[in-house]
Amino acid sequence: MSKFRLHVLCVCGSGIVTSSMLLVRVQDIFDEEKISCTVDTTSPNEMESIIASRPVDLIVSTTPLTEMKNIKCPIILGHALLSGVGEDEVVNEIRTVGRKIADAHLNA
Amino acid sequence: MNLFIDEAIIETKLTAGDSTGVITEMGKKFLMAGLVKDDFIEAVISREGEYPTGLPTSIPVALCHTDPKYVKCSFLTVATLKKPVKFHEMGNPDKIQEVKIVFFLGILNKDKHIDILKNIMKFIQSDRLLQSVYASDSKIEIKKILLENLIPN
Repeated sequence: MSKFRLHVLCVCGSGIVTSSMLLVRVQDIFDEEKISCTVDTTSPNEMESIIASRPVDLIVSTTPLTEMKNIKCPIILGHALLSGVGEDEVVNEIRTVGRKIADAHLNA
Repeated sequence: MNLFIDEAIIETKLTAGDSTGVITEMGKKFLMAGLVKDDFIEAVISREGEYPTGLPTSIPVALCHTDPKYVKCSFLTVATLKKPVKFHEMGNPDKIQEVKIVFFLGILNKDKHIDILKNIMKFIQSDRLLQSVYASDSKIEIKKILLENLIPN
């Protein structure tokens, strides 16, 4: 059995406050899905060096990151997890994308 | 827990023309209380410009904060606004929220305060709690609501 772990990066302007709020929610979502994961937080400034240094499967951000073209993994805009408005759609998206990545690894 | 929550830095029915005014007025209180460094106000204003924090909650809120390097002591507080003030929306900077309650988060250590951040998220998603803060004229009562709902026991 493969020991797959989904590597998630939560991003916000400070790399601390709202990304940590996302971290808690993302961790809960994948715990429920029984997908083991590591979730870290960062700011847009530090994000590129993290991506260059280690694998990242999924990014969930409270701020749009569209200008960063060298990112290969999926990016989900996750601020709805904070306000609760449109939350279900974002939770579903995170769940579906995470599941897809996990399945792809397990079947590889 | 080392998180300062106190009526001295809570404001009710604050009058301000714009988000910069709210941040400046509240920032002065934090400076007087010795919670932040001299450049805190400027740093929060610039961060709010770059990464806005307005949220479309049942009563729209903003979660003003900045890099921990401008904070001396961890604190958490709110200002209720007499008239709504425009804040750009988190994640959708082109959208404007008419914010009535502004949270200020001076967090030095996210690992130490992760439960509080989690509780803040629950708090802002509770119409009942937002209503109770917005309706109150008493800083002491607001402090009590914050302590009861945000501090894990």
